[in-house]
Amino acid sequence: MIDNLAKIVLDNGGKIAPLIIPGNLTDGTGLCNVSVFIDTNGEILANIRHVHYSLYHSEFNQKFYCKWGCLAYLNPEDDISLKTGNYLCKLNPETLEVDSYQKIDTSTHDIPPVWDFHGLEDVRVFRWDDIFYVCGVRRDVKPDGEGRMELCEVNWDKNNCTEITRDRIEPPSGHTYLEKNWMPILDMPYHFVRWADPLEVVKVDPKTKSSEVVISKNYNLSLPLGLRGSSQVIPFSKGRICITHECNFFHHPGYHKDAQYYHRFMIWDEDWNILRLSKPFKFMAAQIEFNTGLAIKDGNFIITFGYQDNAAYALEMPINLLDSLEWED
Amino acid sequence: MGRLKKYLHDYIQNPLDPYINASLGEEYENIGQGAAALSYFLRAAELTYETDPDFAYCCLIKTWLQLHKTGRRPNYENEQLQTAISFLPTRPEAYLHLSLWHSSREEWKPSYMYACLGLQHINKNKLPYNVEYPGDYMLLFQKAFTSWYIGQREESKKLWTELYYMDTLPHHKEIINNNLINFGIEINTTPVAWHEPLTYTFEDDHQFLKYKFTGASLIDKNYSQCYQDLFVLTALEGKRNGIYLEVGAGQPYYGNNTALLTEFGWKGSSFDVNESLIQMWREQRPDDFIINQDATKFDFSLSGINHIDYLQLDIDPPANTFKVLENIPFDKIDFSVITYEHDYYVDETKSYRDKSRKILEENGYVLIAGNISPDLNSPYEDWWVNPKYVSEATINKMKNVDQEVLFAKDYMFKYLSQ
Repeated sequence: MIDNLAKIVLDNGGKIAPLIIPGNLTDGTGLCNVSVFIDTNGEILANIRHVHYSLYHSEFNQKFYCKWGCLAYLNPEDDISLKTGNYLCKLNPETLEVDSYQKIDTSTHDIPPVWDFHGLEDVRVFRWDDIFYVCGVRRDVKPDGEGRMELCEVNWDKNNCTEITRDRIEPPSGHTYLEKNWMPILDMPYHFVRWADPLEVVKVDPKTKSSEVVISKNYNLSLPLGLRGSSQVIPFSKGRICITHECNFFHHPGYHKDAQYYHRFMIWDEDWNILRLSKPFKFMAAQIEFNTGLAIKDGNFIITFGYQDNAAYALEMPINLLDSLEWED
Repeated sequence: MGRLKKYLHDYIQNPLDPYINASLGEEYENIGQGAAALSYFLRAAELTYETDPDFAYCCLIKTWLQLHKTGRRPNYENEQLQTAISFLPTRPEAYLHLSLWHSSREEWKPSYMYACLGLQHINKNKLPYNVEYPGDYMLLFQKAFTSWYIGQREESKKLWTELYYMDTLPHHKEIINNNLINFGIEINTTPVAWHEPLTYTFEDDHQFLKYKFTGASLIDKNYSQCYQDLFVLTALEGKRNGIYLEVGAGQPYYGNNTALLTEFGWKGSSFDVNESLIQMWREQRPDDFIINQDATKFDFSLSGINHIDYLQLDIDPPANTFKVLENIPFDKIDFSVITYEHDYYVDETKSYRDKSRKILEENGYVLIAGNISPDLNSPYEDWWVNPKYVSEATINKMKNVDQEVLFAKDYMFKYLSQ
């Protein structure tokens, strides 16, 4: 277990930046779950998720529960829906701080929400066939909260940042309640890693809004928690790399829910055989962290993540630091 | 961003350091990122509740403040303040915010209740971070405000009057003044009347002194307004080379309580805030120590002295004199004799005499002359002695505490006509 990846990174020549959208636009509520992407012109693009709540999370000995226990979404009391907005940003290549930002205008495709989670959640940003996409899960179009990955083309210029298309992708077979955290494979347009273990790569067809499984592999990993998707899957060496996440939901006495999130680096060869799987790590030693972005620029990884759903960070990690991490046998 | 990044780096090096967590929270708050600030302050509170309760309490109030600034979460705000009070019920800040929370909803009774509870816990050390607590006076303000609405009109008037004489923030001063007008409360805004000193001269008065102390016959004349200097020397049987602390020095000789004492070899420190008086002192009593500083904010415990023979407390208005009295560390310094000016005859609140007596009695002092007056209707001072340093016989001989007005001349002299 690596309990503080950021410390290892900073101690070995890396850097970190807090990612900020001005509080007057957000009421100071949570910025989190950032996705990063190096565009064809070399610019560092990022999507910051803005949630309309502050996450209350009492850690350690948990002396100070709130009304709902140690972990609660503090939504506006006159609107308890869990709203998400997305800000596309350009990051400064030197500092990784936000240089400019624009909120994605989704009004063309929005309908009045019929479930409590509003907006596109945990977006990943990428470019396929020279089209700039954001892709995340939306749960506000069915009254039961059914979640599906939505692939959305975005036009972003100096004056506008607008969702052009919105394709809600059905899973490959049978009905499921919730599809989320599909990892886009950046060098395989319209392909996602739907599951990391066992591996399931799906190809999506935006025209038919359907998907099909094109690669399956059973790794027989014996891990205590299931591997779920986090970052994009990006080309690395002769294969690919991504960051996965695991989530341990549990209850304290009194049935107060709590959670621990862990992440891992996962490296495949070109045939999707696992070459390396890191030990689980924490980014900054908090229980709840979530990664949705991984990119490579100038010999460094840029890793973006949310902290307690309340803060967003970009971490620049020298690629060669991978070798000094702890890895599974 | 520079400070934010610095504290972020510090945090990453030591994420379990509560003070770094709080510093990072403070920086996030400063740039309007309340959610992030909440996370780090809550961690700091969790990490210090056993080792540094005041700090943990402060951080809990900071979590409330983030919700307050964010808005639209009133019940969470309420509960977070209740969490702070439950954790540390002996500090005033969360009570004030809960009082304000209720009064903003016109819930006067609980607002009044929290103001009253907070007033039980004032005069605490300052918290490490700004939690939007303007000062203890604000609890009194809330009590004055809410008592009006719960039908306690006379109490409200009395409290507004008391607030009028207190140091408050300019904005609140304006509200207080407006409320005095709105509620029809008349304030005597004229300064405390100055009474010409009742001077003593050997030639005219020595023969009538009730208590002739050692060295009394050497005094040609005194300086005090109401014989305080003679009283001190009487109580201490003509003590030489004593030490005094004079708060509200006034002029160096005219009406001054320590000028005569210096002729008996006394030394000490005198406080005044009036620049022209300071200049007079430097010219006329250059060997004596005059301090141009607000005594209500002075830390007397830093003097290192544990005993002083005479303490004079006399600054206007009565609220300020009382504030100094509250500021005296009686557990660290004791005094043989104290003259305390409560200005009862002009105190609109009629409260400071009783409050000062309570403090001095609790600290073991004996009231020996109550309601001293320069005439027949202006009771303005109490004189006290410490039974550790003043004999029981002297106390019994000099005690006169049962009169509403004790004319100083009658107290000190026995004329042939009497």
